[in-house]
Amino acid sequence: MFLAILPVTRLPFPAAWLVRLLLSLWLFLPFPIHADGEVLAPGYQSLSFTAPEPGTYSLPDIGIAADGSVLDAQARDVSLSSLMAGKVSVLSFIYATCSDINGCPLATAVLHQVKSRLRKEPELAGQLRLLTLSFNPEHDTPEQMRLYGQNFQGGGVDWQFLTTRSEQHIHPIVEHYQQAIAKKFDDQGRFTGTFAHNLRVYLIDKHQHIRNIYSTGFLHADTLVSDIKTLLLEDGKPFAGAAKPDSTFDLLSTVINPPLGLPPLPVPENNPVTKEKVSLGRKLFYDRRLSLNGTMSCAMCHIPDQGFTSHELATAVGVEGRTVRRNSPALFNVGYFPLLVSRWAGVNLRATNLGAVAGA
Amino acid sequence: MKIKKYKLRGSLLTAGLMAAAGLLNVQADETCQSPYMPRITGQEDVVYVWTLGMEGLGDEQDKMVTVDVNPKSPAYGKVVGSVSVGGRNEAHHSDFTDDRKFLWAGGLDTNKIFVFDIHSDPAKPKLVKTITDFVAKSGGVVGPHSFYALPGRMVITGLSNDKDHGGRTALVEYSNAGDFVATYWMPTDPKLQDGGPDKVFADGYGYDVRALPRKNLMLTSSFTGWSNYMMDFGKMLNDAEAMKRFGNTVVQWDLHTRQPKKIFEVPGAPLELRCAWKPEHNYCFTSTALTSQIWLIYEDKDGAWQAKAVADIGEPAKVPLPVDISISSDDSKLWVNTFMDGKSRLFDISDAFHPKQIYEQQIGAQVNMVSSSWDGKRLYFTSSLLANWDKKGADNEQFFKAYQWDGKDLKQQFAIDFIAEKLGRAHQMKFGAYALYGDKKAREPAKKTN
Ligand code: HEC
Repeated sequence: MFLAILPVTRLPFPAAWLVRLLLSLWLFLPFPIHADGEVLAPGYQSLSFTAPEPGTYSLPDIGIAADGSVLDAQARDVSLSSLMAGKVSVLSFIYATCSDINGCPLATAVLHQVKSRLRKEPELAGQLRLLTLSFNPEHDTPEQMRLYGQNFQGGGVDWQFLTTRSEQHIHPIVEHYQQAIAKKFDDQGRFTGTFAHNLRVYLIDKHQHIRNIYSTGFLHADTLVSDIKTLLLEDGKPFAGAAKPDSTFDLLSTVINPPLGLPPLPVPENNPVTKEKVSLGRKLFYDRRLSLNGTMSCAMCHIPDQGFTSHELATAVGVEGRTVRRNSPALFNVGYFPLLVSRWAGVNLRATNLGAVAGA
Repeated sequence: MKIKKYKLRGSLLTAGLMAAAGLLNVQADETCQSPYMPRITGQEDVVYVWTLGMEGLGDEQDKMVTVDVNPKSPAYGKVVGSVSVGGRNEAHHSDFTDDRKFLWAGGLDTNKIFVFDIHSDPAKPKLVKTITDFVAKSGGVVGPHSFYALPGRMVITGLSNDKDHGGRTALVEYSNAGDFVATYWMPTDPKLQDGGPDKVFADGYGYDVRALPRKNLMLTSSFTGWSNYMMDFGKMLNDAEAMKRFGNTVVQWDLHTRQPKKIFEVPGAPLELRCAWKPEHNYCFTSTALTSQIWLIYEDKDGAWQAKAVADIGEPAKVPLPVDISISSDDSKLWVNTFMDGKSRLFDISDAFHPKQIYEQQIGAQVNMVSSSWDGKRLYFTSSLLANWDKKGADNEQFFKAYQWDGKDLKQQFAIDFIAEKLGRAHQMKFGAYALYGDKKAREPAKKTN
């Protein structure tokens, strides 16, 4: 009955394999698809841009790919981590009776396409594993998953069709992967056998870190293959994020042992430099409460990464954004100066310095 | 074949289908969302207003205020929720994660990001996480501004940096779980400049971000740094040096790789970016705050992206200060708010290259944000721009106003005075609906579905 409502002839993709695939999925449909008005996701069509060249970009680490206890199609207990170990994996969450053409069937269709692409590249294919995990263990027994997957077996990439022992087993997994899934009930409060969920497919590296996430608008075999190859090209050099290098510099030892060419630093007898004072000074230098209205620290004008001056500005910006007449000078070696700004401005340090901080 | 929006017809049957759909689909919401986010069916139930605390008013704290906007609700037109976040942060923008379960809201001064659970009870957001180390994690990005959902992730634009607190900034990516993922600094490479390396406009500034995934396109615009947006507006206008520190660029990025492709010269602080919805419409709009123009960023015949000024907004010489813009879901109309004269102007953009103003109405003494329902019939306005830039004295009206647009005229439905209600400065708006979160509320007999 539903096949009449979704006539194969009206499908805009002639590829025989896809029709076969969809037909195999339709066998599980609980109710008809009203195809009118629904438009197929990009994953069913040719990509409208050129997928990036593998290895010319990096895929940042989005977080750890959680482990979980699942059942394979032979009803054996396996851990997700053992399935992912040493391989690049693509993990998709589905339920076998999912009827939305742009939902689970899309994921399966795209994974199938990836698998066919890599058939010609056996070395790559051997390093990839596709994982399709049901979040509806009540209906999707290992046998159901075996039936679901039987059309996609053989040749190159290993593809596992998985389920779990119970809802208690799938629950923590979907939580970790932040799959929003909710059972749909009818007016009488009966479970309809369908779920509200957002399609998500995960690309996971050999170290079990999530490196990309795809949803309906983004999932496409071309980009997925580029991403898989990009991960395989990394080969043990995982992406390093933009973490700030730890810039705490050992100032005390510089005071005690000045670098080559610099004389000993003049230190007042009654005020020796200590570790504690160095760290207090550093704190004060970054403390915004030192300014008139609690907004500016020394470091905002004397920018440590820019040689304690500001490379970006012609003149310093002070409280409330007011522009100061001069730029903040570099503070390198000021410890050696008997007089500060007055060296060149002919004015007294106290006045100018306070002027810069408070009034600027 | 052409890809249309993933749209199902609104019927009972499709309501069932939508439940099963990979996307919880369509039919009505503000029109500036990430295109692959679940959208509201029919009437929105609530509007979340990210509100700046005001000294001497109420609890003085920033808060997420929920307004009931469903005419069928007994609480229609009323504030039904308010969550204070502790202190003032220069609250600015907010947006949903791709599953629309959480609302992320940023503070431009303290760099805090507040994550609200809005799915457990859409009328009563719950603050579930506060990210306090955005600057350190991002490598020095200051002023988390726009939040834009990508699958499982949030892309956040910065406005400034922790070095000079000027306009140089970056795009920062977080996982939906709230963990830092990556930082991409706004490009300053002269070679990327539209017009060649001899030009000098690449400024590395940031503001808004939008994407057209089918074109693998991401765009960012540019505003100004912390040293200006935390400055007194009047003083800044009189400070020639400060006025030089505004962004002049829109950047085209490769969405998939997050690599910058081209820098366009768009003088005068291009702010909000709004992309057309129709699949054959490969363009986005922005408006420039200081030069008062509508700009079109479009794909040309050869598949290259270009930027062009296509219309003036009011009289640019008077600096009306265009702020928020809102595009209709059929790409035919663009609402443009101008802060100084408190007006909202409607442009006919059916010819994207020749927008024409067809209507205007004064909304208040000052106006900033405008949000439209998906069908374009309901429009909501708020008043605050930035704490230090809002008007002073009696002109510092702070409001949320709901209007009906009948195709000819804007008719006010209700207004909430945010000062009388002791709430603060009303800034950005996001829509919520019970129907988005499955049948929990929808099954209750009182609950209507459209
Ligand atoms: C608003 C920007 C600003 C801030 C904040 C600021 N400075 Fe300065 N600083 C300046 C400027 C500008 C000058 C040069 C003053 C002049 O020429 O009149 C200066 C000069 C100095 C000098 C003299 C350098 C020399 O070569 O003689 C020192 C030392 C200094 N600042 C330290 C500090 C410290 C310590 C703080 C925090 C307590 C601080 N500054 C905060 C802008 C600033």
